[in-house]
Amino acid sequence: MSLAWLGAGIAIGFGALGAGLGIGIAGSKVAEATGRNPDAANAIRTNGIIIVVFAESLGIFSFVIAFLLQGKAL
Amino acid sequence: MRQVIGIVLLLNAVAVIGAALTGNLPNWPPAQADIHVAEQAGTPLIHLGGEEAPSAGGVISIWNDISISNSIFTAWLVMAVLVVLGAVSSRAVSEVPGRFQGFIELIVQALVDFMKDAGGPAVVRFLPLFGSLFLFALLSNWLSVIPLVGQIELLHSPTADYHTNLGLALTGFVWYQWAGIQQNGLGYFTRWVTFPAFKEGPLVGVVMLVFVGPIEFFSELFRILTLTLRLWGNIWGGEIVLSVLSALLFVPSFVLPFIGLELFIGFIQAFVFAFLVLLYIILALESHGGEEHAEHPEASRAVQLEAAHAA
Repeated sequence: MSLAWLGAGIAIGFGALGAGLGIGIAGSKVAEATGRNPDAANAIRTNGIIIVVFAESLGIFSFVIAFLLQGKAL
Repeated sequence: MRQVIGIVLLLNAVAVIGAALTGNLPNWPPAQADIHVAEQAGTPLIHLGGEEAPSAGGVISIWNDISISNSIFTAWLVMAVLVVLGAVSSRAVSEVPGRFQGFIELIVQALVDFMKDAGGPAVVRFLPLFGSLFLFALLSNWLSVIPLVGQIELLHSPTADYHTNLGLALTGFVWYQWAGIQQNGLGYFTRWVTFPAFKEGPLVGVVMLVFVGPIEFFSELFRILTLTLRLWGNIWGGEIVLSVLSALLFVPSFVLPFIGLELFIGFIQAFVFAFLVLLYIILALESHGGEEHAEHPEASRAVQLEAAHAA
């Protein structure tokens, strides 16, 4: 029973770690690209949001998995 | 700005001191039972048919419990707001827009400009789908930060219930498949089984067909799942963050910055949902037949010619 709690914690922890790393790398490149070419800031921002969202959805998946495990532990 | 912050802090101090004097201070740290966490799905308000679900917010129970839930009720509210806005703004359209008509035109024009930037003038005919998905998701997301929404039984933000998001995602999915079939005919289905750009060596086409084809097909189905869960996880998670933080922070208005954060996240997620559906439409409209394959060598030859000229 309590192992499910542990699994939920591990799932959201590692999931958030990976998604955070991905979003950080993508965001730093977006900032670099905007600095290099400020005229294209709008297009870069839109593409950046789209790319960041794909990394974020993996984090959301781990959130869902953690939630399912937590429901199992109750 | 400084005065506003000062007044808010003063009101907080009055509230906390008043609660302490009258003996109504909440427990701190709060017990888990004191924090009212929003349900992950709507709770049934009116039961219509089928077996009643054993507990609120269980596994997906589309078929065995048919009822009007609180998220359907709020979805009707959002739809009523949008329909009334649309009807009123399109009833008396004048050449010189007033303030209200100007505001509506600003929104529609921004949406149209964004669609033109993303996919050219050909995709503007999908404005009804794109605009309604965006506005519905935006209003539903912003509904979730209002106090008491998600806390009492009558109100629950529609997009914090995964059934609503599944419905939105399925609408977008069916729509873009239909648009692709209309545009490309039966050749549309070859997008999952042939990859002409990779047919370079012996057997590469067969290998791509056997290994990449199923992956492409399932990634197509996974789009429904990701669209649903991304919106739901963000909005429901935001509701939980707000209720947990307002229990932990003790002083009422310290949670205001997080409401601002949730407003921003709600806008971004509504935008992303509508934009991803638009992106899938653009991808589906692009021809996957032989023309694209024929265009590529010419293009690369033109590039080579230009490079030779430059040299």
